[in-house]
Amino acid sequence: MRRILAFSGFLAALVTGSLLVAPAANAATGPSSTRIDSVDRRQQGDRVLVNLSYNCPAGARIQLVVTVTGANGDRIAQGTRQKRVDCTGDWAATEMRIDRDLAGAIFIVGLATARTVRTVCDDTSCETIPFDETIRIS
Amino acid sequence: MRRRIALASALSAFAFASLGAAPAQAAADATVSPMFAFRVARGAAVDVSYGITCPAGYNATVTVSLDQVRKDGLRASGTVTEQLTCAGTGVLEMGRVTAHISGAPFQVGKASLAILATGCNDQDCFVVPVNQEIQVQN
Repeated sequence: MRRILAFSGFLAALVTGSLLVAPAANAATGPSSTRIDSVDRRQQGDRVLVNLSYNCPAGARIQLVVTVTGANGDRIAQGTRQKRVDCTGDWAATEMRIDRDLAGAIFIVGLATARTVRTVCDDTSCETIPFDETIRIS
Repeated sequence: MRRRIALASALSAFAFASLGAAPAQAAADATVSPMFAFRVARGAAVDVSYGITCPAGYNATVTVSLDQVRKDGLRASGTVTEQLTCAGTGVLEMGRVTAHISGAPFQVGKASLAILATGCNDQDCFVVPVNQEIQVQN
């Protein structure tokens, strides 16, 4: 049994090592990145306050579209907000107030998921990159 | 531990599938092999992993849809679409399927999975549809 597991592990390492190459976040406009630092519940769950950091090449502009989705009992809470900011070439922070979609439930404290779609544009081109992450609404 | 064993076994299977005869699912040398579905953020989303092999130089669009009738009769569903550039070798991909706001959160249990991979280069295209049941795990 151990030998089978070891062999499976070896093959897994072989596959992951050779195939699981993370897609480069280097757009034609240059490397860019985002991360959600914190998410706080506001207005009895009608809104969440998202603190987000972004990094993109100086001189470019970045449009951020953030969607937060959480479960609330047997319903879904969701909200989307977008923002356009200038890139400095270094990490910068921004805040986004995301109101819930009235078709769904209110946000509650706990684990949720966030999808950040960033579109980075310079003088010549734009590149759009989505990124999903698990977050905690506090 | 059980999840690790399952992952190792599935990766082994995927490695063999990649190295040996490819599954006959594609029109033009492209294959899609669904692997896992893991529930995240209290069912607000499900991470669906799959292996994809498509000809180098093709730009592919992969749409992953998940539909589940829960034990309480409520329906959970969602879709995610991703873009990728084919390398000519097998790659492991993961799509986070977010639950639709009008439905319920996903539960552990069986769900219907549909993956549609399409891709083109300058001259030719491929289409690979996959429809199967998958176990959503915690």
